[in-house]
Amino acid sequence: MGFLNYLIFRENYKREEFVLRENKRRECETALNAESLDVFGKEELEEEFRDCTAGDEILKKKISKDLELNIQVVKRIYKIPDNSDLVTRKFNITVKDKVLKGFIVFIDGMTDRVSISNNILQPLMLLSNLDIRENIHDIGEFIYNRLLPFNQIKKVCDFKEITESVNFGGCAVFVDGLECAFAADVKSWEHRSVDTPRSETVIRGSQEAFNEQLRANTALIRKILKDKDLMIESTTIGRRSNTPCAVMYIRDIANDSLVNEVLKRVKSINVDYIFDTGELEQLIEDNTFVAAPQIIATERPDRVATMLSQGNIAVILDGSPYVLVMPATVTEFLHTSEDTNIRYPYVNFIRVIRIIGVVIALLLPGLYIAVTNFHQEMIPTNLLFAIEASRENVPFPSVVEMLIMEFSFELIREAGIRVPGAIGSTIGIVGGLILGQAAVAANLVSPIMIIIVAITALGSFSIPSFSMSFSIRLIRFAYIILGATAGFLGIALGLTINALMLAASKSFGVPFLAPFGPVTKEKYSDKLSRKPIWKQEYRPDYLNPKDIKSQSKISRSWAVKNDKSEGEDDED
Amino acid sequence: MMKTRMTFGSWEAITVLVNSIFVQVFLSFPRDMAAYGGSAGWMVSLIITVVVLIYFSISSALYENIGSLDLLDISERVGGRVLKIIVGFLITAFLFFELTAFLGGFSQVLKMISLDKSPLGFVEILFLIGIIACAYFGIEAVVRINAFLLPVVIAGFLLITAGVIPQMDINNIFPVMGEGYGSIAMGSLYKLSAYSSIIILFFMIPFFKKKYIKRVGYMSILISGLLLLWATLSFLLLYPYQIAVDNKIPVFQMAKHIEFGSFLQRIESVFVLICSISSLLYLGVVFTFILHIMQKTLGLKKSKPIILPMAVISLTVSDILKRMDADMVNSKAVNMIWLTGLVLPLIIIIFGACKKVGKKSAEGGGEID
Repeated sequence: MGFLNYLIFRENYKREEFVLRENKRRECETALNAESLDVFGKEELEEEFRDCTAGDEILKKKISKDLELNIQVVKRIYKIPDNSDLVTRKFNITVKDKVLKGFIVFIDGMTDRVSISNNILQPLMLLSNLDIRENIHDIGEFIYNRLLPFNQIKKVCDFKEITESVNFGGCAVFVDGLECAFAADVKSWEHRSVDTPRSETVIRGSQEAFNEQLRANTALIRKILKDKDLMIESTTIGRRSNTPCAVMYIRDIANDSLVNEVLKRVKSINVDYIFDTGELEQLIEDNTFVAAPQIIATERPDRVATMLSQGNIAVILDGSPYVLVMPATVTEFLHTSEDTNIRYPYVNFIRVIRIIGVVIALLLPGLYIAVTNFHQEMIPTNLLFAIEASRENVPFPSVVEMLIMEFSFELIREAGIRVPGAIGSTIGIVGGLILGQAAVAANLVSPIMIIIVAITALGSFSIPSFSMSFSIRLIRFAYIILGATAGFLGIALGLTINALMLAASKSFGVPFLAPFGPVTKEKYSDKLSRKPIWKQEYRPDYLNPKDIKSQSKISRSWAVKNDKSEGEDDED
Repeated sequence: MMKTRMTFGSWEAITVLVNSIFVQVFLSFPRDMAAYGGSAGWMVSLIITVVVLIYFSISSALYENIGSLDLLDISERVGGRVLKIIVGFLITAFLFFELTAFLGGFSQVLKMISLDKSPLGFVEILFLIGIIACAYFGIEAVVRINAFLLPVVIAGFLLITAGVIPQMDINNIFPVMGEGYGSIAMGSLYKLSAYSSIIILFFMIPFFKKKYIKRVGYMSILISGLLLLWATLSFLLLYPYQIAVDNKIPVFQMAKHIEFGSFLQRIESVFVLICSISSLLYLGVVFTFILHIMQKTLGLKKSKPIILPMAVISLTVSDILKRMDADMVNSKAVNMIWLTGLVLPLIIIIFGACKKVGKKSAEGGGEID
């Protein structure tokens, strides 16, 4: 029979084509007015009204004494029962032989059902039947004080607050005859636990990283600082998402104008939704078009705590495992949280290595091109012959060769991040074999070029900040072009323009190149190099903190013979 | 505590002035010293430094009655708006001449030693891009980058001069008095022009605290004086002065003597790098201050719209000067023009001090610190 299908024509089943139509414009304003008026075509308008979302005028409504009306409004706001994860439950409360109707609403999956049953429904439905001997003047107060044995509950009198609470894992309790409802914080959802850092790994130091929970993240920082002056100011971002956001600072250290500026920028963001601190960073940074980042994004609570103690401000957004810290200067992008934990000689050694890594990542390809094209005299004759011999069969000019290699390397890096974990090792093999061996064997590139690109890659891996590393990778291409165009003059031009861009940029009023451009007082001891920990007496001058001194002049009291001198020094 | 007002510190100001004076070492300063003073050329650089120190001590003493005013403000208070405009145009013309002469000079040097296959216009355009960027980002950024790029330049220069120490011969600076007192005196007079860029100091004063004026002035003159002296001395110690006067680009010639051997064979390319950075910074500073002075003279709200036209004009003038086939940097006649940078500020300061313009402005809630 199957064979006949090829011989006899049969018309295929007609498949219905989907056409994406334009939305019909809803006259929500008119429909809303029509609801309460006797107007012509009211039914049609009411039909439209059902498709209209609840606007501010509904959310701003006060809670009514009439429970049925409240239920209607709640159903209207959430479009219940179409909205499937919204749970509503009606019940009765008995207060002194008087039966009151009640109603709760919450979102399934965002709340703790056991808590709702045990701490809200059970007391209301069962405890209310107990023999009550006291006189009840205010039923609302009685329910709040006696019938709801739950620790985080508040009275709410408008639907906007109720909606915000329910959207963020709350349970709203309405009782007939009350002008206010109760909003219980019963949030509980599946989330990632506190894990080890993935992009900022250290050997010495805390192994905790932030997760996507705002409160867990604030707690991680508070746990480290244990400072009564640590402030956590909460706000929400996103007109629709109302994403909770916390601005953290130490009130007797952080500069007031800086705190106000951060709060102003965060609060003035006018977007519908915000999902991550990556978006927030772009919305509050000073200059979008400068390649260098101007805000530090870290997943390490200890790093945030250290920076807060210096006078910086942190911004945490619910749903993001990265916390933003501002202002940021160039030196901070070269520091890691491990730097404070390892000994003075080691940290300075590793910082020198890191700076060399940055210089290599930024300039090595450009310098190589400049030297081989314009300044060959720098290369010893034997080496020059070796380079020339290795390039003999390569058909491209060295700049094209370099661009091909750099592009291929960026391709491997991007593919390595995106490729699923199970086949991740394939990228290494593909990259290593194809780029390393096959490209040389095929005379596409010279072996020296592989070495240059590999050393450059190693240099870029030594940069602790992901964003800074990105910026350097980007600018590197400009140096390659400049080196190929005008040799060292081109490189000098690139350095000048790059330095100008950085010198002109600011992060929340703090020059990006501080403390080197402008040069600030030398008392701050953690710049490119770091003084011994007992000599780090001052906070960064460029942050203008309220309290510039972070420790007494003699922090190691045991090192002083006379105990009295410590007290005297402390008064400095 | 760091201030948020547009200011810069004394270190930044010092580096700007040092670079503006020191940059001439990369052109022909040591050779000129040899030409004027023979084996005693190093004395010329010493004498001009001492003379400029005296000049500055007089100027700074007179500035006590002037406060934190720059030359244009002083002119305005002395002779009204007319004098301000006249002085503004004179100084703009002087700095513009300096810019175009050195733009051509540096472009030719770099073309000669590094970009011999590229047309001169291409090298000039690269410089032009640099100075346009400087002007675009403004005085604050230009001054700040001097603070950390100049030490790199000086380190490179010291590396070159230290590398030739084994080949130096003390006999080269004998006879000590070279071609005699007269030559040294005349050479010192002509080469006072090396410090003509000090005029920029009198425009930087409003940007830093008045109490730093002496520190900035003396430190700049002393550091640049030492560098000029060391450049001349090392050059004369390396070459007998008869040969020295024939060297076109002295520091580059010195660098060619060095051979490291193992991985970096020759380091004259380091000269290209430091010369490029230093000249870009210098030309950038001069161009930015030209725009600042023009803006202030003409009362313009913004200087950005005139950046591009001014840059194009400077390139054109530089080409015209080049076609004139005259040495715009070192000829005796031009050296006298360069002295404007020292004479004009002194005249304005003397008038300003006589009229005590600073005290008047302080009484009127002015700018004195």
